[in-house]
Formats: sequence, C-alpha cells, structure tokens
Amino acid sequence: MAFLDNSGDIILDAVLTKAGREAMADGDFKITRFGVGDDEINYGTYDLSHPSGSAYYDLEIMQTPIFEATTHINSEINYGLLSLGGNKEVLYMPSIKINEKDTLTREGWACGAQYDRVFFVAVNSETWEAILLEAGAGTGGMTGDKGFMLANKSGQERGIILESGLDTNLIAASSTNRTAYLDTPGLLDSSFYVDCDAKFINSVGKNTGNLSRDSDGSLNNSLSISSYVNATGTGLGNLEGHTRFSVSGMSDLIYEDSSYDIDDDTLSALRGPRGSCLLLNFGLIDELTTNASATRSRLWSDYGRTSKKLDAHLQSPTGTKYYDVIDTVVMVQGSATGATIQLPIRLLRYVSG
Amino acid sequence: MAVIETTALDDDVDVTTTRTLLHEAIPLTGTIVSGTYGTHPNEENIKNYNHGMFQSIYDYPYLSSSANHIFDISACYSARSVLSSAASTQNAKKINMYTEFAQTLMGFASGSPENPAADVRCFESDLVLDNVSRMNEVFIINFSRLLTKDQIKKGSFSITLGTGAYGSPFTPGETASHGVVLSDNQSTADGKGTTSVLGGDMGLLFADSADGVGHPVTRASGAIFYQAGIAVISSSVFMQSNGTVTGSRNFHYSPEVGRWQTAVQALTGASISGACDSFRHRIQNISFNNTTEINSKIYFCRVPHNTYNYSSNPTYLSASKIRVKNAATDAPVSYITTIGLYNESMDLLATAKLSEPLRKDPTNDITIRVRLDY
Repeated sequence: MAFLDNSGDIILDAVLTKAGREAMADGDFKITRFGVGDDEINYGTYDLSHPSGSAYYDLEIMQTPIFEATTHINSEINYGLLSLGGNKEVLYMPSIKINEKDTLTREGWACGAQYDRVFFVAVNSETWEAILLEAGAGTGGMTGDKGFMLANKSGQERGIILESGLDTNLIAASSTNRTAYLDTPGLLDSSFYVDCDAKFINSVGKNTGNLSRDSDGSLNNSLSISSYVNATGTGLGNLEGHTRFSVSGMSDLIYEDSSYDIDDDTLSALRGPRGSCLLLNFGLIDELTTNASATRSRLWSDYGRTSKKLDAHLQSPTGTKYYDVIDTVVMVQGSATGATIQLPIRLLRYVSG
Repeated sequence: MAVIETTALDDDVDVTTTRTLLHEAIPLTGTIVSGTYGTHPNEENIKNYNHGMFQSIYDYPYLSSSANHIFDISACYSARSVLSSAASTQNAKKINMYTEFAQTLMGFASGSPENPAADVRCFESDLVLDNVSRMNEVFIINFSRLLTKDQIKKGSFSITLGTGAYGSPFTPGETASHGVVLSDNQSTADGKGTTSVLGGDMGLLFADSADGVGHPVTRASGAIFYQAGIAVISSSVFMQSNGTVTGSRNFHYSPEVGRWQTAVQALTGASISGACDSFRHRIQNISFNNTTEINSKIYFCRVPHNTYNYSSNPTYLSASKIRVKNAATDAPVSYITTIGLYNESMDLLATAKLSEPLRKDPTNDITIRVRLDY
C-alpha cells in the first residue's frame, strides 16, 4: 500500500482547453501566467454569526463540491480572485447596476427593462416608430414609451445606463468617500468590457460626458455616444462566439447633498459612492437592420422568432404589430473591479401591422 | 467573459519538466484468440482480408463498434528459406511479408540492395547480426499500439504455445508436456540481453526449462522488438530440437490435400490465413507489460500571502459589502477552486481543479503545482 504524497505542495493535473489545443496545433503553445478562480463558491453561505466561532464560518463553503475541469473556456474561470494591491482593509467593493430611475427614463435618457426584465432594442427607425405607436396606444404590454431603444444611435440618445460603485446606504455618496472608497483603493472602473454575440452585434458605443447634478440638484446627464468601437480581439477568457469590446467608463459624479431638495437616490441606481458610468448602445450587423420591405435575414428565423406580436402575455397578446425577435445576452464587466452584470437584450425588427 | 487577475510565471523558477514511465500488465488469454466468438477458425473477432497477407484479432466481434483491434498475425518465410518455392501456396506474399517486417526491423545488409528480398537481414535467434542463426520461417505477431502504448517493457514478455496434437495442443502427449513458454527473461530494463536494430531494441525469446519439445534454454526460438511491439516466433518451436516432429505433426489440417500437416508443411502448403488460424489455435497465453512515457511540465503557481484574497464572484458582496468581513480590519478570505494557465495574450490554455475549496487569506502562502502531461 503506497503512501500519499504529502510533500507540502498541492499537485493538480491540468486539462487543455479548446484554445490550448488550438495553440498546440498552431505551435504557439506557451504558458506564461496563471490566475485563480472560485466559480463554484457561494459566499452567501459564509456564516459570520456561527455560534461556534470563526472556525465554523466557512463550514458550508469548504464542503462545496468542485466540478471537473472541462475543455470549454466558458465553464472555467469566470470569476477570478483579486489582490487589490495587497490592501487587507477593503470592506466594500463596487457592483454594476442599471439605472432605470424614473428621472432618466422619463427624460428619454435611459432605456428601462420591459417585461421579463429584458431590454428592447429596435434594429431600425421603422421598428422604433412602430413600437412608439404601440406604446402610445397601450398595446403590446409596453410599460411606458421609454422602455426601449434604437440601435446604433449616436449623440445623447437613449441607451442602457450602467453605474459602477457601492450600492450601500451605510456610506454617504460624497465626493470624499468616492475618493476614499473607490479611487484610492483602485476600485474605479475606468473602462468596461462588453461581450456580445458576434452574430448580431459588431460594435459598441464609445462615451463622452458624465453624470452629475445641476446647480438646482437635478440630474445633469451629458453622457453621449461619440462613435462606435470595434472589437478589441479575443482572449481573456472570452465567451465562445462572442466579441469583446472595451469602452471607457465615464465619471459618475452624482453626490449626496442635503442642500438640495432632490434626493440623490432618485437619480442614481447606487446608494453609496458612485464611481463610473456608461451609456450603452450597440451597432448591429447590417443584415439585421433591413426594413420590412427588404429581404428578411435568415438570422431572424435561425436564431429567433419571426412575425410575433409584442406582449408579455404570449397566450393572448395585445400587440397590434408584428416583429421579428432575437434574444441575446450582453455581458458587462468592470475592468478594475471585475464586477459583472448580464443584460438580456431583445432585438426587434418591424414586419407588418 | 472574465477579467482575470494573473501572475507571471518565471520560466527559470516556476516551470520544470519531468518524465514518468507508466506500466500496465496486459494479459491475453488464448480463448480470446480462438474459440470465444464462434467456432474455430471462423470466429467473429478474427478478420481476414482479400489480400490474405495477415489476419487481425479483435477483442470482440469486429463488426461491432465496441471492438478493439489488439494484434495481427502473419505466417511467412524469407526468400532464402528452403521453403521458398514457386510451388508453395502464396509464395510471393509470404516472402513479401517476411521482407517487409525484416527490412523495417532488421534492415539490409547493403546500403542499396539490388534485390531487397535477398539482401534483407533475416531475423536471428541471437543478438549478433551476422546472418548466422537465421530464423527464416516465422510466425509474426504485431501488437496494436492500444496494447503496447509506447513500448513493451523489457523482460516482461511471455507467450505460451501448445505443441501437442491439434485436438489437445496443451496437454501431455508424446512428451511430458506440450506447452512451451517463450519469454524474454534474459532482457532487462537497463538494456542487458537486448541489442539495438533498425526497428528499435530487440530481445530474444527463450523456451523455459519445461519446454516439452526439447529446445535448450540457451537457444532462442523467437525475437521481440520492444518499441515496434512485434514478436517473431520461429516455426522451429513446433519441431523437436533434433528436427523431428512430435505432436505438432498435426499442426494444420489442409482441406486441399485432405490430411494433417506439420508447421513447416503448413507454411508451404497452406495460405497465410490458414497457417495463422492453426497458429492461433495453439496460443494459450500472451502477457507483457506495456510502457507509457509521460512527459510533464510542472508549473509552480505561487500565491503569496498578500495576493488573491478577494473575489470578483457576484456572491462575494451583499449590498457592496464583502460578505466574509464584519469590519474593514477583518482579514479578507477567498476560496480557490480553479487554476487557469494563460498565454501572454491572456488566452486560457489549460485549467486545473482542486478537489475541494482551498482557503486563501493573508495568513497563508500557497504553492500549487499544476502538472500538464504530454
């Protein structure tokens, strides 16, 4: 009976990923870095109030079964571990939230999610007009006329507004705290990575401007899309079949200020110090943007549904017009914090009605 | 999707290579070679070809997708053999088969042979390539790589053959025993008892002391080529040491001539597949250890005390507060489940998983050895 090797280190057998096999076939297989992940862990089971003491806090976490390694990069490290510069005293870390506050959607700045928490994106002006009519007539299950956006628009047009910062009411959203909790520890997302399905989306809007408050305390939204950027290339654990875009994050300067009548929480999706923000819109591949009179791309039938009415109540839709529909998911991640958010996107193309 | 923080690996300090030899015991019982999947010689796991130059043995009826090819058998002789004659059945094919095996494993006596079949070095029953002690008439077993992997382990090969009458080849008959065990018992892992030939290392197969047909243990009755995974068995193993035939006179029944033949007669009078059928019938056991050479690269992934103590896992936060801390001064904690190995472009090339979460906090310093086998 052999003895177990307990020489101190932990030995793991590695499995080549698809990218590794391809690199091997191409003759440029060269490992130079390593990273560590914890995708299986649910930190919600960490019990800081365990009656038996700190040795028992992670009792459940330590019993987490671990999946086998697979060759598919999607199912490996999605959530990496971070060092945060060796700083041991970080208590708060940013998260990314979607700003759907009435202030922004009412003014036509922000696209809110429709039923099923899905963001509706019209692929062309014809579709935009058709949805506007539906919203005006109260058909199609639309929640107001601001809950959708038009793809590939530049300038101060409606898009999905994301904010990165601390979503806690325990820390005041002041300028000082923004510096202390976000800027100084390196937790300010100066850029965002946006991963989109390459079959449908070929560019992402690049921002100028910021979010701040006017002298009367109301929202000053100068976020604007100046141009559309193309993919930054593969790598960094990209999702299979997805293209990665890197866009700059803009300053989110909405501060808590008791001298204003307007509460900052009505302007921002975050309750604590805000770091950066992004107005998100997409450039679509040409064949998806054709009008109803033009030939329908096969993408609509291959990856979506054709000639459907809009409505959450699919059994008895109240919509009056027909649309082609493709559902896809866009993933956004902060470059400094690794905070992530998934955005379900529904591409709509007007057909008839 | 992920933005992964990574640490550079220093080739001089964090990467090393190692080689491991893995051996598996391969026992092949005679029943799988004849009789298990049908009636000899028409078993469903034996595949004969139209060209008739060899036959293939599977571990299951070969028409099944579950079947694995385990080895081939051929019966052949050299162009220099006294058996070589235009009158012999499949004479050219038998010579061609011998020549193919011999030229690949033993090579040629001259650099540019005018007549390859005549110039090819014959298999020999000693380790001196001088064309003395030739094995001109042989049965050849070439094993599938599925079994031999990188090579047969030296000193591990043995084959038990029945030399008795056809109906009871393994039971005592005219002599005390009708089983002969050929093994490479004089070959060792460090190369003793072997020589290097064109086809790799060659060892010799000697009969054991219980050889029922009187072969001296000092004279080889076959050769084994370790890297090629080929065993060459001299037909003389079915003859008495003095050249007479005992029970093996019933080596093969020839329907063409309507009588039993010796092994030598089968080599001339029977087809290759017919001779192979009779040879199969006399295989009682084959066993050897294979060798798999595993070359590994080991990456020492060093995680210092002040790194990777936080996580970007969405569950790590509750209302932006880190769940594993009550106060800022509490030590951060994370749990490692996966190691990712990246190239300079940050493509994830390989991953390794831990069997259970590994706690990481500022009080510990971990080195994880990740092994990548080739």
